[in-house]
Amino acid sequence: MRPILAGRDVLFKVPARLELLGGLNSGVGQFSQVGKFLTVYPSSTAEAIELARVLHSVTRGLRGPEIPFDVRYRKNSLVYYRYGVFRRSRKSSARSGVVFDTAGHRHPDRREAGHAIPRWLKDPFRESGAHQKKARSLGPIGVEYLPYKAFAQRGKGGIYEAVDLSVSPARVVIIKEGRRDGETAWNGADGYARVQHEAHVLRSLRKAGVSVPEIRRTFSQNGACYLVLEKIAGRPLFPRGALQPRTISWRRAARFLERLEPVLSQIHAAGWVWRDCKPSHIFLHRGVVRLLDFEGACPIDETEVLTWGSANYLPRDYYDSFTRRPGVFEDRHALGVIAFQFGTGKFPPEKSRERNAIYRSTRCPDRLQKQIENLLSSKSG
Amino acid sequence: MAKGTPQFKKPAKPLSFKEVVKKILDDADYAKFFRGEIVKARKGNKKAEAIVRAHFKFRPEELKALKLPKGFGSCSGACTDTTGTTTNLFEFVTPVHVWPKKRKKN
Repeated sequence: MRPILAGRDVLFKVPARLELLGGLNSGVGQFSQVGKFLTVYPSSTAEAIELARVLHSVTRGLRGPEIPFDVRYRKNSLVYYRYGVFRRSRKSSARSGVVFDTAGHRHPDRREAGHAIPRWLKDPFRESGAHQKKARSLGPIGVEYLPYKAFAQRGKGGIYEAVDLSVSPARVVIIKEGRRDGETAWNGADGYARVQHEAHVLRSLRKAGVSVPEIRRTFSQNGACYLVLEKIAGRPLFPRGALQPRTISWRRAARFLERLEPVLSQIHAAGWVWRDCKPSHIFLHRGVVRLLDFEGACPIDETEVLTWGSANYLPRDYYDSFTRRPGVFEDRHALGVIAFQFGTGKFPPEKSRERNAIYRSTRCPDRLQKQIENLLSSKSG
Repeated sequence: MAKGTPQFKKPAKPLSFKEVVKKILDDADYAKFFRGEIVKARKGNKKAEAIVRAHFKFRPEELKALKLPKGFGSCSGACTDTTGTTTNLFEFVTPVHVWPKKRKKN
C-alpha cells in the first residue's frame, strides 16, 4: 500500500511499532480505534473514492478486524471510511473538533456509530457504485439475551452480564463474545477461536469434576462466537478492583493454599494447565471455590503456544515468550504469588534475598515459607 | 406464542433498561410478555414494536455500563454502520431496531 500512497503524495499514518498496533487492535481505552492500522487523509472526495477502490483491490482476500462505527467500503473489505476533522483548531475548545457544512455552519465532529456520514451529505462511495450490504441476522442477542453490563469491551470481544429470557423464570448469565479477526495473535488465534477454545476447556474440566462455570449455550451471530455461562455466585478472592487482599496474615495464606492446591491438582489431573490463576478469577461462595476464565488454558505438554496470563502472576523469565516449557509451572508460580500477597500485602520481590528478609520480618512459619518458595521457583512440571 | 401470554399495560413513561431488567427478573409473567413482544416486533409487527418502545427506553447513561460511546444506537434514520461488530452491539441497545427500508433499484 505504501507505493500506492506515496505515489499519489497523500497523507497517511501507521503505528510506528507492532506493539502499538497490538494496542490499537485491543481497543483498550479507545474501542473506536480497533482495526485502524493505516489511516489515509485524502485531499478531495474524488481522491478518496479512487483510493478506496485501489486500496480495496490490493487488500482483497486479506483478513483484518472490523472497525467499529465506520462504514465498510464493500462486503469483507478491509477499507472503511468516515468523515471527520483532520486537525483540531488550536482555538477550538471542543473536545471533538468541528466540521463545517456546505453553508459554513459548524457542527461537532461526532466519532460515534451512525455518524460516519454527516446528514447534509450523500455518501460519495455509494454514489460511485460501491455496494455495502448491511450485516444482520435475527440471532439470540437482543431477543433471548439482553446484555446490560460489560465487564470488558475490546477488540477480541466483550464480556457481559445479561438477562436470559430463553428460560422461565428469566435468569442472569455471563456472555463471552469472541469476534472474528479480533486481536489475532502471532499463532493466528483470534477472539472467535479463543471463545471456542474456552468452551472446549470448560466442558472438559466440568466432566473431570472441576468447579468451573456451566455452559448454558454457544452460538454465532454476525461473525462473532458467543458463550453463555452461568453467573457464579460469591465474591472474588480480593475485593473488586483491589490489587492486594483486605486483611493479611500467614494463617490466611496457609488456608488459601489448602483450598486452592487440591483444585489446581484436579485441573492438572484432567490434563490442562490454567495459565491465568489470579485473585479476580477465583470466587468463594459458602466455602466453595469457583474458578473463571480458561481462555488461555492449554494441555500440560503443549509447547507451541504464546505466553498467557497477567504480568504480576507470571514467572519473570517467561514474559513475551513465543513458546512454553511443558508442565504446570505457570499455575504453581501464580499460587505462590497469591499466597505471598495474603501473607504480606505485597507482590513478591524478584530476588530471593529480598523475599527472605520479608519472611523474617513478618515471622512467616518455616514450613509455609518453604512451600511458597517451592511454588515461586517452579520451573517445569 | 405461549397460550395466554399475560399482557401488561403501557407504563406512564418508558422504563430504563435497568428497570426493565429488574422487572424481568422479578416477574416471570412480565418476562414472557416482554420477550413475546420483542420476537413479534423483530418479525415486523408494528404494534409489538410500539409496545416494546412504550415499555422500555435505553438511557444514555446506561450505554456507559456497556462500555459503549455516548449516542450509540441513537442514529436517526438509516444507520450507516455495516459491520457485524457494530450490528451486534446495536442488538444490545435496541431490541427493536429500526432498520432502513430497502433501497429502490434503479
